[in-house]
Amino acid sequence: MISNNKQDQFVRRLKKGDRAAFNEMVVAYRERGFAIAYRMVGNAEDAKDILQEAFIRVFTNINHFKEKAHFHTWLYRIVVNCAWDHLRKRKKHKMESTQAAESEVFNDEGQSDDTVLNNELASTIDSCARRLSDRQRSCFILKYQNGLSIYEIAETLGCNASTVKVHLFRALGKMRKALNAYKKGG
Amino acid sequence: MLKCFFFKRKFFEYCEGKLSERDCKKMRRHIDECRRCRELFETVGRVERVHKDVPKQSETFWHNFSVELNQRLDKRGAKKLWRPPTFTVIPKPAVAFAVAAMVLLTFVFIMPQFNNKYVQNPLVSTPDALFKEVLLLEDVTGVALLNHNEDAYFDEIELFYELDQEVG
Repeated sequence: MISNNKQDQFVRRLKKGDRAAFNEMVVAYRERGFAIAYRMVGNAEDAKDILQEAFIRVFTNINHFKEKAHFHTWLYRIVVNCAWDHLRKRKKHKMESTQAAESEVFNDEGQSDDTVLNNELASTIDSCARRLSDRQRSCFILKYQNGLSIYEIAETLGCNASTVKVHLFRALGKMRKALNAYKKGG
Repeated sequence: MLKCFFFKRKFFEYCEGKLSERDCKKMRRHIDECRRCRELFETVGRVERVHKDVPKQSETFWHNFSVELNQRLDKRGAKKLWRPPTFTVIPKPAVAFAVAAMVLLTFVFIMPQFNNKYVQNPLVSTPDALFKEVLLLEDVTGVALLNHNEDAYFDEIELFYELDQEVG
């Protein structure tokens, strides 16, 4: 986790046009940004494109950063917005690519029963998450797969904490039904 | 007994460990008593325990990522990270008009003071001469003064000056 001081330094140097600062910022946030993008679209190639687009937008819009929010939540918001744009444009292709990605990841050969079960459950959760609305999916991914707090998610998505809670409850409600169905079927 | 509504209000704070011990006890009691809320709580637990890991990318991947990112940046023409703050664009005709107006005003108000021979060559240099001027002005028809015609007034002064020179 990058400290607030470090984030402030990044912002100051980026606003002055420091290219080295940009490269440092990319190194600092690439893993987390990639994780968010990957969980939203389900494959590494699209996640890479989304993350690059997000960093470019940070580049060109740094002067619009008001410094009322934390830099990392502003960056994550840009990543989420880029992912939404990508999903809207390529909805059909996304379904095909995520199915292909799942078959790559979940190779059961040589794995224990627990691992296989874990993977199947993860697949069920992911499958359910893809059926959520954009907002619900974003809240769910940021909360349970990236560890952000309610208030950080609210800051990232530009809404208030109550709205985030509503989205999460709805997402968890759908998840509960999917997991109950999995339990009955499994 | 804690109703489902209040349970949900504090649910995420409870999961994040931000509630007091007293509130946590109430939450746990409700989880034991309410099936739906218990399932909700268990769902969170299962989701948190089980999630697909993001494939870890190699250093080669990140190196290529950085190269491609910089190429895309260069293509976008964003060689300068920093853009100067944008100002409101002043239309060129307005700028030209403003400059022209200032030049004109300069010539109208300032230059005549230097070109005015009455300044360069004051009509009167001594109090006696000033007195004579006044007397002669009274003799002169003074139409210009009566009519408040400044140009004509100065013509009369010029005439007076010349007469004065002849007399003097």
